[in-house]
Amino acid sequence: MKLTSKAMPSSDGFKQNRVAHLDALSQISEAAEAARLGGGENSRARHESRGKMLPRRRVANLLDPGSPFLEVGATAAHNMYDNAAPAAGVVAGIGRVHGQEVMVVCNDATVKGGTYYPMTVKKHLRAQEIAEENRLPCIYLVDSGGANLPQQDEVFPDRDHFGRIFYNQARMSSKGIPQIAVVMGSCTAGGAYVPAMSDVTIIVKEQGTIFLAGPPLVKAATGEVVSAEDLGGGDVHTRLSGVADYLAEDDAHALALARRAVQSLNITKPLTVNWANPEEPAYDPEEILGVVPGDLRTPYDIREVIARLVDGSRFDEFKPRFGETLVTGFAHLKGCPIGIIANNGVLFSEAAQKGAHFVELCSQRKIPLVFLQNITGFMVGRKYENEGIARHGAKMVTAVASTNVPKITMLVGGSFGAGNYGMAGRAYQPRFLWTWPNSRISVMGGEQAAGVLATVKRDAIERQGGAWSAEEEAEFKRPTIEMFEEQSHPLYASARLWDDGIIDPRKSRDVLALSLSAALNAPIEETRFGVFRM
Amino acid sequence: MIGPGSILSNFRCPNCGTFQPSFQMWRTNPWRGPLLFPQLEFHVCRTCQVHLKLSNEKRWVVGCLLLPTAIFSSFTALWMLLGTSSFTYVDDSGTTELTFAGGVLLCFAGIYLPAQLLRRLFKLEIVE
Repeated sequence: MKLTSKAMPSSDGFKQNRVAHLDALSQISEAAEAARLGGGENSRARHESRGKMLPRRRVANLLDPGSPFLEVGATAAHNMYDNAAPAAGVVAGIGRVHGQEVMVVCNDATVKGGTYYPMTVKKHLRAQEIAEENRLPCIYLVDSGGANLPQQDEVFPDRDHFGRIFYNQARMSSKGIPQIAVVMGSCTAGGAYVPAMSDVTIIVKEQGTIFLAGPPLVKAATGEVVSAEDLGGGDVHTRLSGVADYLAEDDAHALALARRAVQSLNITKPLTVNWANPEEPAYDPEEILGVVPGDLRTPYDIREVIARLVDGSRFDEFKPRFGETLVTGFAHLKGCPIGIIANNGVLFSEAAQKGAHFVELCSQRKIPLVFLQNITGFMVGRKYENEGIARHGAKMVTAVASTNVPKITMLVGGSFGAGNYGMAGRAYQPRFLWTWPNSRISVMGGEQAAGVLATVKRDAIERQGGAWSAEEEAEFKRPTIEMFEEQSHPLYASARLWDDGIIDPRKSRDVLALSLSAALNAPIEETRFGVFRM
Repeated sequence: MIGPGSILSNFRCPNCGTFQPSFQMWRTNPWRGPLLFPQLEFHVCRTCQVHLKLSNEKRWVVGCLLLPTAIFSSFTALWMLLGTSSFTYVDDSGTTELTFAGGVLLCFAGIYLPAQLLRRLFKLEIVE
């Protein structure tokens, strides 16, 4: 059934919403632009003076003409490490090479020599996780000095630290997910294992080096004086050691060889869903900025967003009269069948049951799920606890956790409390998680959290016979509210890779389509659900 | 690198009009062969990120007809011209030959210039 919009683009409210969104968007764009530049001007000039391409140029030269690039973690490490690691010093994302979707991980040597900060490791691992879940070949454009030594305690020893990169490479290779490395600069110490553990390795002549210990360390350890090129240059590795397979003349040639390597992968995408002819929505996606209120506390009908995302604005709504605070239904997005689960208010027991039911349906039919998350949480209070909201909520959480269909989550508003779990938050391993600039994520709202802490404090003071004035309480609450405001901001969240990136709401349809296309590189397994508490 | 070759060849991006590196563009020529330097499928414009390659429409005309003619005529004209100056030509004790500077000038103006100028006949096209 075609959705009908009640939005009026000429109304004041519509215009105000648009202004608020554009405001939020400009803040994000500014941060993203700063991250795109990478290291400082001097570092970039030095890098180019060596005849090397800048990282984003390398990616552009690798991908097909006209290929989209679905970047992951574009604002990672924003405002972290004194802003020393724009985009966490690594560019990662999905693009197409000879029509094959691939995951590209490209070190940015203009950012502290491409060394790995904790967020760099996290971003690299996230890129590999996406590649593994969606069976995407990985192409590593390596130009890195290895671990960032002053941060070694947060980079080296733990499970999800530097070593995990090579573990993932081995595991992915064993599953038949190709690993291709292009050595375009240093690969020192642990970093040497990236090319060494790849299926195919290309190295650039008189530019790429691979060694476990660089010339200074060799001199210190053994007294041997050797140049970097003689120790682990392209000639050595392609002629003597066999660590690399192809010798490239320069960056452009190395990327051409990497493209050739992808061409011979012989991979076909499984046909897992019945594709329909793509169609534009009946309502302009540009209007999303006007139909979604700038203030999270203002309620709105999520169908207004759905109408601007799906093909022909057609949405076959499931159980429209039951559990109305959760909107569920089937649609097509650029021809791909999807099941949509979207919040339209706080979650009640009925809504949670409906959500669980819908996830079961999609799992049985093997239809990918798209979650549009704008949730303040599950309803609280005696009545709801007594009717077993925890039990009903658990059903939805179980269903979402157990399903094997691809899940893609988009935060289009608030993401608070247990609602985050039921709506496929990060812990529920959606294949991709994107957020809008107006979104907020935290365990609860700042006001509520400050209120809880103030109540505990007031009780303690009153137990001791003291008094607490309203001014004192307000002063006590202020830092908590400020902290929550800062930490729930999408830039704060995205900097820590709690999501895969902040996107322009107007591009949601494109981003979702690319995510779905990437996700469907992997076959959809049968789902076996856990025990539902009835 | 944008050098004099780019300007002489007039290798401009059809999308944004900026000069493109002559050598890199030449590498995208599919019939040039990989003997001198490895070929590329395309070159990405630094300004507008469009993928470009050299069209090979006039390759036979340029390669077999115009280039040899241009080089031969430039050489002949230059040889005569260079002979008029002692800076470029030595005529001493029975030997007549070019000086080092004359040789460089001959290579530059007799080979490099006509080759670069003839590249103007090639067009850059956008790879779709």
